Amino acid sequence: MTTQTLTPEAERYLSEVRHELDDLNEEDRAELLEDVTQHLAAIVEEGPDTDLRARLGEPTSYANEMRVAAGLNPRAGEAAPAATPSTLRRLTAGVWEHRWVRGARQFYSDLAPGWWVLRGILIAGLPFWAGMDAGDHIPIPAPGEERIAGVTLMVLAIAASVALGKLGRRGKRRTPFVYAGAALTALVILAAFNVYATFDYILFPKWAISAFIQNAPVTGLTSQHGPVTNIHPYDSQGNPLENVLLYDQAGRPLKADIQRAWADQCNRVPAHPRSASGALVEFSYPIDYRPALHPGATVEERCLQLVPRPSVPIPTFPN
Amino acid sequence: MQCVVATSPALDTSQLLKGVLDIAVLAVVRDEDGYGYDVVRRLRACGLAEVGDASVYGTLRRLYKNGALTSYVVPSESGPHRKYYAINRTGRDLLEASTKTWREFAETIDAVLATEKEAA
Repeated sequence: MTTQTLTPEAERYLSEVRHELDDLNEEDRAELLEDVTQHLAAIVEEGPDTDLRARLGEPTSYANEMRVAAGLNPRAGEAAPAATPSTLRRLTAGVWEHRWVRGARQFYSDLAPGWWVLRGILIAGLPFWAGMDAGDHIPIPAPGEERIAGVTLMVLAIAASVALGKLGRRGKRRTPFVYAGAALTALVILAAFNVYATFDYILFPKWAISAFIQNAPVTGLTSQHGPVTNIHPYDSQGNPLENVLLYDQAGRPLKADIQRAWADQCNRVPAHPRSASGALVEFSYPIDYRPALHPGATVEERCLQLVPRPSVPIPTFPN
Repeated sequence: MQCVVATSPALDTSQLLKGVLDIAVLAVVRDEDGYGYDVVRRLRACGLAEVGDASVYGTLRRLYKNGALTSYVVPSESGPHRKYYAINRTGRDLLEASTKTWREFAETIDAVLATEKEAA
């Protein structure tokens, strides 16, 4: 008789015992489970209808008794009997040991090292990718405009993440590291989604985000520096141009993103011109940002000033 | 191992048994190799009804890891494969020393009980 020929009750009992031993290292756990399997097989051979719980007690107690007798530490918190009903515990153990769940657990275990590396990259990069100058920090952050510092930061973050992941896998005192790793993972994922939602056009193509997030607003123009919130056209002589209409290669109007934050803390909104039909022309540049006017609210005088054009280098063309 | 089954009412020896299970298990396999379930049965046949199956298996595993026992598997086509445990030189020395310690301890307790009885 092999493990596979245990009765269903014996299999369930074995799976619950396995669950109670999952905090042990692989070698100890495998040795004890080998004994448990043979024990159950012997009992079943003696009487296939034997009530294992009546005969051996609850799997929790059985597992704890065996590991203590084998010279191993009892499971943490084992002194207090579980308030969970035994039926629920059996169901939980059954689901946990279902072959699909076990396959998923093994798949996660195989992928975990890759996630540790990615987690380190995100830890190092997200604080920079969430900023207004995110484009300057793609793909490697450049704190203080020093790319080497960003590389160093990323390497250290990856090393720390991998070390945390390894500590959470081995040893009898791995529980705190498991919790720390899980908390860090949750934080990183939340931060990543927050950044992605704000700057999705940097890290993902629009069609991917639009497909993933229903009714997601399509963002405006971007450049290698980040979102484009205005365009200041000039002619070849360096004369600033007004009311320039811009279209892409397919004749579609180019719409810039809306600038929401201003260095002078003023609240401004784009004042697009209107066509003869009254429609807003959002692709006329430069965009005239005006103070947002709300009933009853006052606007500081400095915010009433027109936003000046940035100084730009105008190239000289041959005659 | 032939046991003389006690005829007196069984005592609640579970706590005592925890301290001497090693010696009991070594004694069982001393005369004849045994597998886990077999060792449990033999201990119970000697009157140790309180002994837990899991404790015996864990004790066998620990004694094996500590070098007091050796093990071998006997395959079976009709029944479960059985891992047999056998005592070795280290185990015999351990059993001998533990037996001596137990006897001295038992004599000491007997003396204490006798003294208390006289005092009463």
